[in-house]
Amino acid sequence: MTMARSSAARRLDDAAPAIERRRPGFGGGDLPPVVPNRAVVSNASLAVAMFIAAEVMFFAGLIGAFLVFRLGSPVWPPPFQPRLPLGVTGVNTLVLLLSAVTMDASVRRMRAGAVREALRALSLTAILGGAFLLIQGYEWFRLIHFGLTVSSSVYGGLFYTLIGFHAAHVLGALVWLFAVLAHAKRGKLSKTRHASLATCRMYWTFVVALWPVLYVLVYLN
Amino acid sequence: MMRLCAGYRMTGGGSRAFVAASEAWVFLALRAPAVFACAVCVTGGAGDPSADAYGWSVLFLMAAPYAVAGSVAAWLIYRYRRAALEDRAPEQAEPAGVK
Repeated sequence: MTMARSSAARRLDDAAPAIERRRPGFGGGDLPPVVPNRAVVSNASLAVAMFIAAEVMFFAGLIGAFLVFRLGSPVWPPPFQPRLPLGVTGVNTLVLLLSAVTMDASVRRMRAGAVREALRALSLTAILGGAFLLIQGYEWFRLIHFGLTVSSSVYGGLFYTLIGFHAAHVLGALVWLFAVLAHAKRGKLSKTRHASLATCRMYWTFVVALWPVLYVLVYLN
Repeated sequence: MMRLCAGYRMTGGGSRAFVAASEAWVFLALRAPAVFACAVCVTGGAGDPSADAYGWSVLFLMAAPYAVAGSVAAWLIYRYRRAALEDRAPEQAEPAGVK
């Protein structure tokens, strides 16, 4: 039984066990105890960081393609194409940035041990993220109505590819967030065990930080 | 048997296949039409917007991996430094491995 326990695999969010060993010193007596370094980054956080790095490269490829067409065109946006709604999207940008603030507040409250407040902030984040997607969807509906489709021109193709992939990522982050919410509602998160919330915050921060870059590139240029 | 280099010998079948492949390669190389030097050489003139656009895009994509790797490294360094500070003041430390 003892052996089974000691050989069991660590969970992703477990810290390395602090084993204190004493070595016999030269000429008798004990040397100071050897305490292994504690993990400063959990395995889960490191995995999500690597995943985000891959996602950044994915979007860098898309932005590179956008730059080729954008800088290579003497007139941008091309003539006879509907103009993108700057004002509504600007407000939508603020909504998404606000969701990052509430997400950060959720993690801070969880660390402080205020689980209910953390859940409230997390729910607010989900509402703001959902609002961003709904406004985005309405915007797309109007643009398609005005004739900007993915096959109408290079402009339309680039717009829907870049903004569409970002929206898909926000949707993915929202699904993740709902999974964490369900996890928390079952009482699985606490002050000391909230790696799922911390990693969800990392990914959410990534999708939020990416949006202003895309907004400036696609909408304001 | 053909000796290609020191310590390596080809069998009879392998040697014939190697010679046949080399002849085919030389034949195809001689028969190939003129090709462009580079897949992205869409224009030749300096100052052309398309060429500039390709140039900026290539530069951006070249810099991206370094920026990503640098950001991850900076984050890890920040975490290690913060952990070192927490070790000095253990009463204010947050649980290890949570983030």
